[in-house]
Amino acid sequence: MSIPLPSVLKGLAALSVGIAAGYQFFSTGTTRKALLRPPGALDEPEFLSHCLRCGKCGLACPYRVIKYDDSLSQGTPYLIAREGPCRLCDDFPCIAACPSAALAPVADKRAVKMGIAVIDRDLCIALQGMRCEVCYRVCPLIDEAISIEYSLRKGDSHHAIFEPVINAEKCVGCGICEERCIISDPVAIYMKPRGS
Amino acid sequence: MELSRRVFVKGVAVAMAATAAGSLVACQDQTGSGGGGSGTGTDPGPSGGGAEAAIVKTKGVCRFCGTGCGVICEVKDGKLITVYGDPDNKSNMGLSCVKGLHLGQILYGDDRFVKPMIRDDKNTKGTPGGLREATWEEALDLVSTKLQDTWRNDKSRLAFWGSGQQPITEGYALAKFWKAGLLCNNIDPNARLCMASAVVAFMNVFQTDEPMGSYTDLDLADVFVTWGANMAEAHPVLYSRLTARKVSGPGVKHYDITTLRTSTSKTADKVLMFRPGSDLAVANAISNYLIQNNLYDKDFVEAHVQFKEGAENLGHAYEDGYDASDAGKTVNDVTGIDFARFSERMSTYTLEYASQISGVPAADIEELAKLFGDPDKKIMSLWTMGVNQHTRGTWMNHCIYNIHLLSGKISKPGSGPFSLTGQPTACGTAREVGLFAHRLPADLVVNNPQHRRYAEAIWDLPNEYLDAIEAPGKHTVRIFRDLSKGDIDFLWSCANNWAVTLPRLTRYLGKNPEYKGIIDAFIVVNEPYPTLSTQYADVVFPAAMWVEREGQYGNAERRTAVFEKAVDPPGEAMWDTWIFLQVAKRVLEGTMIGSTPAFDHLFGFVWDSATDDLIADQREVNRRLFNEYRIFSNPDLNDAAQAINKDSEGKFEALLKMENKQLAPYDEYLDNAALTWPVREVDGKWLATTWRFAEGKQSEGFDEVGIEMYGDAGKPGGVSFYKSAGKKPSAVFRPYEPPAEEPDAEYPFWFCTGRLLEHWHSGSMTRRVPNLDNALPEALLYMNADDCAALGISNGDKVKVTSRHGSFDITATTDQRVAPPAGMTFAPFFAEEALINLAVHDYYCPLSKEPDYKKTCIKIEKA
Amino acid sequence: MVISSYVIDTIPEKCEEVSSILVTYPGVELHGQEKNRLIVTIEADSVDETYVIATKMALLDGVLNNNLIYCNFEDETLCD
Repeated sequence: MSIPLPSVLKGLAALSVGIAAGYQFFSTGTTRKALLRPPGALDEPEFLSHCLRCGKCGLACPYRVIKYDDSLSQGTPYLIAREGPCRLCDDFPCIAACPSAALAPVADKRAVKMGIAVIDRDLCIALQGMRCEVCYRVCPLIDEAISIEYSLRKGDSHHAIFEPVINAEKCVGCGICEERCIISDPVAIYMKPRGS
Repeated sequence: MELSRRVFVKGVAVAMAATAAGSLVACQDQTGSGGGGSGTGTDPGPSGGGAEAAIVKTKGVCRFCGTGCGVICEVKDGKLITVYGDPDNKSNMGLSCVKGLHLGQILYGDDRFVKPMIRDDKNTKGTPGGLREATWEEALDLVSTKLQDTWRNDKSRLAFWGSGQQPITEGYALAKFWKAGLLCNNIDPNARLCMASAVVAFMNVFQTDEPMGSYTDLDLADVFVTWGANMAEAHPVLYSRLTARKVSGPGVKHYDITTLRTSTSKTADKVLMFRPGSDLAVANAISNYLIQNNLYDKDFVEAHVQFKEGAENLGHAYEDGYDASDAGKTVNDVTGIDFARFSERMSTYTLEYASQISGVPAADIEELAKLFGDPDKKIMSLWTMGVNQHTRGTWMNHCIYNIHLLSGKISKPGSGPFSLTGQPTACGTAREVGLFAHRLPADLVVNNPQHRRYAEAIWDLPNEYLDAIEAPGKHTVRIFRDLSKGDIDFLWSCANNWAVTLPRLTRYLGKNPEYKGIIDAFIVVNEPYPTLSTQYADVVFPAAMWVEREGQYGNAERRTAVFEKAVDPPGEAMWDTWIFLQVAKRVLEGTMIGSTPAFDHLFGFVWDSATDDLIADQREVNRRLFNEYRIFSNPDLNDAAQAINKDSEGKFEALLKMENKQLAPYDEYLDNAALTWPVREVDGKWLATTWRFAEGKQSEGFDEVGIEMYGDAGKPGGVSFYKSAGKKPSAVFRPYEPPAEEPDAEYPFWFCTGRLLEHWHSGSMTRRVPNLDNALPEALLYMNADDCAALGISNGDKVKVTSRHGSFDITATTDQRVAPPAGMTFAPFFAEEALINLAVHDYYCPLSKEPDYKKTCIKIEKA
Repeated sequence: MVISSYVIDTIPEKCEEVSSILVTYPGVELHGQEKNRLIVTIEADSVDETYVIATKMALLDGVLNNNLIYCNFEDETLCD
């Protein structure tokens, strides 16, 4: 038998309100940190009320990097950049698959705003003079979102520092740099999700 | 609804209900989306704390590129726990690149060979299986029998493919075995694919190999010119030095002459993007500009330069018979000419003509030419594979030397042509020891009688014994072309991965029915890890890696360094010298040199007759081999050799001047520091030379002793090229001739290949390091975005690349780490699963026999 | 397959009894229990069937509230 559409929508509406309420309840007084959402995600409160927890974005992702299994996210999609960053597919299949526009279409990869990369200056070996800059070379927006600034290494007139510098305006927060960083536990470059 | 989706949806349902019910499920703290990575933490500094006494430190040098960064190894409980840059080593001052940072892990991949392996069924070749464990006895006997049989039957059918990564003493022992023991010239190194063009040009121009200058020039130059070299990724710590100079020096400029934008292009002040193959014209235009505008150094030229032109219209080695053809036989012919003739030949290369051929704006070439014409500008030219891996690679080296010779910018602090070496010891071993089909140690060549007499003197061989090897043997491409046709019965290789790195693999790996020679040939590979090459081996000898034995490397600036043994090799793996000599003993059984058994004659000095094995003290073996090898550049240690060096009997009408590459005694490198040759004994101390052929104090790094011995002081430019014929290096006019293939309707793209920072060569070491593999997990085809759009290819699509020679699949990218112009593509060669050399052609420079890996023509289709 | 989840509030003393009855219903699973709250899922072939089972649960003696939290009906056809 078929389901009358209006009652479905009423049910969804009730659901959304419930979830939004739930989020409000749980976001106060807890140490919950922001999650890295898939590309095109609305701002967090809107995202949470639009997301149906249907799991279709994860199915659509050709790299299978969208996760759901943490109950704290209440079934909403998120990425752990270190394990599986967003590859900024030209056609954004995750966004195309989302039935509720919780992931809204973006003009192109430069319009994505998942978050911003942050470099831990104590851990980054490039800042000590080692020739690394893996993060720089793997960036899909190389020389736009991330560039190299050159300076003389302190106390060494013979060698330069090749410092990777993030452009916060241009960085889309895809997380590829975090995935590839050769420093682990903790990584020297990590995503600060939008909204955190 | 499929089961897994159902489970998923139900999970979501439960989770939400649980949350709503107020029972917060305990979960791990999420720090945004970061943290919690896998893989070993890298510790760039010395490990501290704990039982200090249990940590042993040894000195070493990096396993990877020709920069030759010094390292310190820390060992605990027999395991390498960390490796870091040696602050006292003058080449790198404590720094390393990301590959060097992970040196501690390259020994510990979990699939090391720990026993010899034998393949019983040759039809398993080319598959990962088919090898079984064997004892050393069985493997050594088998290999020795096969080698001996081929040797006795027809030694043109045996070959050794060596490497610019074999330590010096190991290369020396091997060269002595092959050349003096087997009397065979079919031994060639992978450096043939890398530095051969540079070497032949050095010999043609200077009659001595290796650069005049050193890394110190990077600290002093006013202008850097990178010719087809991605130094930022291929010589990372050297590039850091170049960049420091750019940042701190006043008005220092960098010109990047290249066919595609690389990491190096990013820091250049100007990028001269040229059409592949036209670099010859660009260089000649600079030389021509200097001549036409009277900006060349007249005094220098008159005092130090002779002029030549040579054989031209060489064609290309499309056919196997090229070397023996009329064109192929005369490629090295040169005639002396005068400056007027040289100028006349060069006059074709106007700025406009060069711009027309190359696509480089005339104004840009002129700008660079003006700098060369400025006597006060110190200019350093730097180049590697873009110039050497070139069907006119030797000529292109010549063209760069012509500019520096005309302008007198050579052998001066901060000023000079610096041919960069790619491998860690192509200089120290392949070139200096002479592991080439036409060479003997210390720049000597087999086809020169005086050279052969000299080697006989040092090796105490009967007079004219080495005349048996007066004809050069087979060079690399010839070896593998012959192998593919079934004309090589025995091939042995060490410290390389030919099944991944040779060009034209479709032919060599027997992918077409016509060329199945690889299956029947008996192939022996010394390797620590399973590679594509070991898949074709009949026997694999498990080899010790890097600091699992003591060895020595000679880097790009002529610096010889010892790396101490830090740990034991795993299982039954042995160091290569031991393997070579075990086989030599068996193969040379019954052969005499004069009245002594050949093996005793050649290697008795490192053999322990009591144990019938190599002397147990590995350091002592190294010391004895090195100290014998160094006699080649210290003829005063051997009267007979000295007599030939000085031509005391007037038989040869030439002085060899072997001291021009003088090496210090082994213990000097052990106890003190890595030193740049020629190293001179002055008042009981051994002093290095920083600038060859340059006047000045030896204690300040100038070639004082050498000039005193053989040169003339007080000449223009303060130099004396005492090793060159008539003390005058040769400026040889070389024209532009087009590449072997050019894009057409069927194969419309150029395909360039090379290295990227994270991986070394074929990845057999670096891909086994988790962090490096993670940093660059996939070999991609770097394409121009417009080209992709026109072909309907999106970033990340799998594509099929096809050339006239073969095809392979690869993922395409428009990510701009390497930014090719329209019509150009690039891919690195570290990934076996994207075997790019299946499509790369093997046409080589007719003079150097080095193949051109940069200019194959391809078509690209979505896979 | 239509999958839905519920939080059911019961009279505290009746919680055990209610949960033991619930699990006998076809397609019903009990996932958690805390004080007088039960977390339950229903798997049924259609939304109509789900309603029938959920209503039955709500009318059980001792049940104070039956709150629908989540419903996935992607397998259902929508029309009219």
